[in-house]
Amino acid sequence: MVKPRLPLVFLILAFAGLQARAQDSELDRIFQDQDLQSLIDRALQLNITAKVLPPGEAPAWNSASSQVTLPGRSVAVRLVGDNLHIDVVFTPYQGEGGDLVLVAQGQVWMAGAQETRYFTTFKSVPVDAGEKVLFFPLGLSPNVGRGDTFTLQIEVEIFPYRELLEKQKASAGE
Amino acid sequence: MSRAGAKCPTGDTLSAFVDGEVRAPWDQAIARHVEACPGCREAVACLGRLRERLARDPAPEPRLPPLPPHSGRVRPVPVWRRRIALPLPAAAAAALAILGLGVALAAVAGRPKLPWMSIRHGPAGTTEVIVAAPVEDLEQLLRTLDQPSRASQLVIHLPADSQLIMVGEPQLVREADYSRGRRW
Repeated sequence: MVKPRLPLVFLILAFAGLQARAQDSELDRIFQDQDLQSLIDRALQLNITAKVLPPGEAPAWNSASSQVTLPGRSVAVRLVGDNLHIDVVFTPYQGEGGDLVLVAQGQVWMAGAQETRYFTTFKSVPVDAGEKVLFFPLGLSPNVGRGDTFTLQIEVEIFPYRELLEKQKASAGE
Repeated sequence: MSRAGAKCPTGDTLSAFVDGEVRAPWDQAIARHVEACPGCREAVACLGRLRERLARDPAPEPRLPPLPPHSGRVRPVPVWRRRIALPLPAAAAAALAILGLGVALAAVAGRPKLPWMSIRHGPAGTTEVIVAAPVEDLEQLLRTLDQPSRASQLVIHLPADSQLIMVGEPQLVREADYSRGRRW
């Protein structure tokens, strides 16, 4: 015998399914919205270069890469070495007037012979578009460039993505 | 005014006289007046009869509805077994309300937990984009913030022979400030 509450359960399930479908179509509509072009106006490109600076001026090694992001959305960089593991999260924030602030959150695991040491830091600095910002996750020795101290340096440059696109178009048209 | 020529006492005074509450020598004066005044004598007689009647009849007890006869222990009726009398429109409205609440709860429970996005256009041509992941408690929020997949991640392998050590407090500086500091 079919219990009288069974049709009610079917009705509820059907209604829930319709709601889920409506939610999907709503997201589709949002992501296809032309207004999202305004996101490109706000997008930022982070050029990130990691360098190991030995004594002397020329870096012994560097690795460059870039990421496009939005203000408030992080770009994480993981540096992996033999006895070293560094996670740095860079987050650019943009104020109402277009002023930029770069926040760097660093975590360092350093394996020694006896123990593994862990350091964490949280730094921020105001920055202009196109300006270079340097992050030293292992600290900055006053003897950098002198003696036998190696320094790990991460350079970050922030560019408005729209400007880079226009430059690319202009260079392609020439 | 009585025929005796004296002023008649008031009804309250006569009532007090009948009750024996008037002190001497006024009680004797009132008694003399009552003997001489037929009106007051009649009033005193009436008050006396009333007093006797009140003294004869005891005060009536309050009338209460009779208790239902029962035997043994009284067992309370559970709430869910009590009968509630509702008008048909009210019962129908209540049933519809319960059904609507159930459907709404089912819809909320069945909704997929997708990231939520909102675009607001400001009056000065500004556009505010808010992207939020659904979280239910602080622990989930922290997990969401800490989730590496939420951020674009670059992995850089350091050279094998790099001998890097912690030399001080991590620093974040503008290159211009750094170069100026090095020149100093």
